[in-house]
Amino acid sequence: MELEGFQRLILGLERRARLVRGLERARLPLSFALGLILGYQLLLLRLFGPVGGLQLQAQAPWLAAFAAACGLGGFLYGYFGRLELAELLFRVDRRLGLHERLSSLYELYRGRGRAEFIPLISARLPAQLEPALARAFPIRKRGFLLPAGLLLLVLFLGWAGRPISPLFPLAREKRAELEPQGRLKALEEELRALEAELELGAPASIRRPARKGSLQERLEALEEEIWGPEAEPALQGELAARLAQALSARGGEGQPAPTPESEASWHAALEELARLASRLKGGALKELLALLGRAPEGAGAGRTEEGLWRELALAEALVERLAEARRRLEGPEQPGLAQRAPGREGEGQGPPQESGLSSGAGEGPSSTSAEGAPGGEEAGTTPGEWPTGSSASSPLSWPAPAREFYISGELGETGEIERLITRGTPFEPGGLEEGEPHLRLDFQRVQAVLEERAIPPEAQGVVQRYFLIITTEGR
Amino acid sequence: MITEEALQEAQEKFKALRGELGKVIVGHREVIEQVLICLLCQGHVLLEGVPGLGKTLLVRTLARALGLEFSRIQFTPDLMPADITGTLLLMEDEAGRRHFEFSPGPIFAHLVLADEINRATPKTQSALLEAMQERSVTVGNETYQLEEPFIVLATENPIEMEGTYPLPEAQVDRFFFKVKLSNPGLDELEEIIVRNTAQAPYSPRQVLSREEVLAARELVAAFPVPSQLYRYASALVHATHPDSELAPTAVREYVEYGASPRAGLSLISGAKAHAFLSGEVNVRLEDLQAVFYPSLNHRIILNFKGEAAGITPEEVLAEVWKKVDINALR
Repeated sequence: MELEGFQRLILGLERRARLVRGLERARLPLSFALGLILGYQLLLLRLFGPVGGLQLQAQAPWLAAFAAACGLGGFLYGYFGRLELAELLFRVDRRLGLHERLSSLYELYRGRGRAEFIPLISARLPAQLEPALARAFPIRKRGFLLPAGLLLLVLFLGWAGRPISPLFPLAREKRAELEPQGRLKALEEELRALEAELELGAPASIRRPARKGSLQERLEALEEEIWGPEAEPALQGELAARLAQALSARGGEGQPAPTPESEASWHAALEELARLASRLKGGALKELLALLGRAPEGAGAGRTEEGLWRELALAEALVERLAEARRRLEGPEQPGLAQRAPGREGEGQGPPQESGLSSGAGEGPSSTSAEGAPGGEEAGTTPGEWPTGSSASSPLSWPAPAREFYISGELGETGEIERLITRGTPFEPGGLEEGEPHLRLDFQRVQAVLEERAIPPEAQGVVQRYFLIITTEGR
Repeated sequence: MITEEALQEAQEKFKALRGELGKVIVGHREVIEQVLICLLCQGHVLLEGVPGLGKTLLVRTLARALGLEFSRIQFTPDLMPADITGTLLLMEDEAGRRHFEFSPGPIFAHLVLADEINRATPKTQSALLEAMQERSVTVGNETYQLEEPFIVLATENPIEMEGTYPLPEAQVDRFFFKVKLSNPGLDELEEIIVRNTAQAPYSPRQVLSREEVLAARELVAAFPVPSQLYRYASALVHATHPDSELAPTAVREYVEYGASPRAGLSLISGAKAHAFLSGEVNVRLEDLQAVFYPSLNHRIILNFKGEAAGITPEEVLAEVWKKVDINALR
C-alpha cells in the first residue's frame, strides 16, 4: 500500500472513528438529560397535576434545548477529543482480524522499522479495506435504546400531561371551571341558552323594540356598570336593595293585582333607582328602568308583561351569576357582593317568581328561589339552610344568613383573616381578649371555598363543624 | 535487502527444521518452538523437567539439524570452571620449549547442553553464566570470543533438590526462557516406545546452515512491532511488581520481586521470533501471548506467603494477563 493510499485510509478511518465516538459520547449525557427531564416531568405532574402539565408545555422548548445541548456537548467532546492513531489502528486490526498489519504499517511509515517490510505487509492486507472499516467502528444501535426509550417516555408524559388529557379524567371538569377561558365559555353557553329561550318566549312587541343589542350584551353592560371595577362599592349594596324592593312591590306572575300601596312603592322604588342610576357612569340601568317604567302604561292594571318580567328576572339572575363568577375568579369577595346577599335576603323577599325560568336557568339562584314560594323563605330551602344555588347541591347545612356570626381574629390588608383566635388558645399579653369576637364569618364564602378546593363531602362536614365551633354560636 | 522470497524461504526452512525435530522428538511441540525462538533471539534456555523426558535428545537433534557444534556438560559438585571454559596447558614444542596453550572447554560450541546445572557449585555456575552473558571466555589474560550462534540449554531437575545449588535469581534472569517439560501423554508415550524399540532410531538430516540461522536472526530482529504492543509488554512486566498500580491482587499478595527489564526484552524479541515461525511479517498480540509465560515465569520471585500457599508463578502470571487490558492502555 502506497503512502498516499495509506494516508487516505487513515483519514477515512479517523473520521469514522470520531463520528462513532461522538455518538457514543453523546449517549450518556443525552440519557442523563432525558432522565432528568423525565424526573422533572413526573415531579411537576405529581405535585401540581394539570397545572404542572401546563408548566411543562410552557417549558417544553427549554427542556428540549437542554437535552439537545447535553447530547451535542457529548458528541462534540467525543468527536473532537484526542485520538491516537496508533491505538485506533490497533483496534481496527483487532476488530477486523488484520493481525496488527495496519498498526505495523503505521509504525513503518513513521520510520520505526525497516521500510523493506512495507510491501511485505501491504501484500497481506485485503485489497478493498475501506468497506471493512465500517465493520471496525459500527454504530451500536442498541446503545441508543436507553435514550430512545427515555425520549419516548418524555414525549408520552408531555402528551399525557397536557391540561386536557386522559391522564387527568377527574380533573378535567374542575380544570375547565378553574380556567378563565373555560369559565367564560360556560357562561357564554349559558347566556346563549337563556337568550334563545327568551327569543322564543317573549312577544315580538316587547322583544324587538326593547332591544338595542343582544340580551347578552346588555346584561354584560349592566353587570359591568353595577359590579364593575369603576362602580362605587357603597352604591352597589344600595342598588341591590332598591332593585329587590322594586321587584317585590311589583310582584310577579300569578301574584295578586297591585294595590295602590304597592303601586306607590313600585314607583318610589323606581324613582330611587333612577336617582341611583344617575350616579352610575353607564346607561344600562337607566335603560332597564325606562323599560320597567313603560311597562305598566302599555299593559292593563294588575297585569305583568310576561316578556318583561322574564327579561327582568333573567337580568337579575345573570347579574348575580356573573358576579358570582367574578367573585370566584378573583378570590377575595368584593364589598358590594358581601352586602348584596344579606341586603336582598334581609327584605325577606325573593326575586319575582317565574316558573318558566326553572328549566332554562337550571341551577341558578333565581331558579332555585323560583320554585313557587311567594316571598318570605325561599323555595327549596328550609330554615337554617343557606339560600344559594350552590348550597342546593351541598350536603352541608349552614346557619341562616340572616343571623350574623362573629369570630375573634385580625383582618389583614387584603381582607383575609391574618390571625384567627379560637377558644382555648393562649392569648398574647396586650392582644385581643377572648370573648371579643368582631369578625363576621361569611358562610357563603366558606361554602364557595370548600367547593373550589374540591374537598370531599365527608371532609366538608368536619370543616363545617370547625367553622361553627369557632363562631360565637359555638360557645 | 528483505524480500518476500527471502522471508518465505527462511520461514519455510524453519518449518522444515521443526518437522525434522518432530521426527525425533515425540510431542513437546511447544518446547521445540520455544527453543527455536531462543535460537532466533540469541537467548539461552533453562529446561526444567524430570530426567528421561528427552532434553538431551532435543538439543542433540537440534544441533544435527542445524549442522552446528554441540557439546554437553554434566554438572556435578566437583565440576570446576576450567572444566567448562577450558584451561591453559603447558605444552612443549619440538624444540623443547615450553609454553602455555589454551585448550577450549566444552563451552566452545554452538549448542551447549548444561545438564543439571544446579548440581555445580556457584563458582562453576558463574563461569558458565558469564560466558552466556558476555559471549566470551577469559582465561588468564586472554579473552576468547564464542562463535555465534551460541546458545546454552541448561536443565534442572525439580524433584531432586538435595545436594544442589539453586541458581541465584540474578543468574536465572539471564535465561531468555524457562521451558517446562511435562510428561508425555499416553499416545505420545506409546509413540516414544515404538520409535525407540521397533525401528531404528531416526537420524536427523541437516536442514539449515549456521549462516542461514544468523540471517534468520537478523530478519527476525527487524520485524515491525506496533507501538501498542511495546506499551502492552511494558505494562505486563510492570504489573508483576507488587507496588505497581497495574498489579493484580495475586501479585500484591504473593510476589516479592517482579520481573526485570530483561523480561520485556524477552517478550518483544520472543514475540518477533514467534511471528516469524508463524509465517507472519509483523508481531501480533497472539505472538506476545505465546511467549508471555516462558519469558516471565522464572523472573517472578514469590514471597514466603506465596511459597507457603503453593502458588506458582504461572498462576500469578495468569492473573497479570487477565488484569492488564491492552485496550485500556494509553
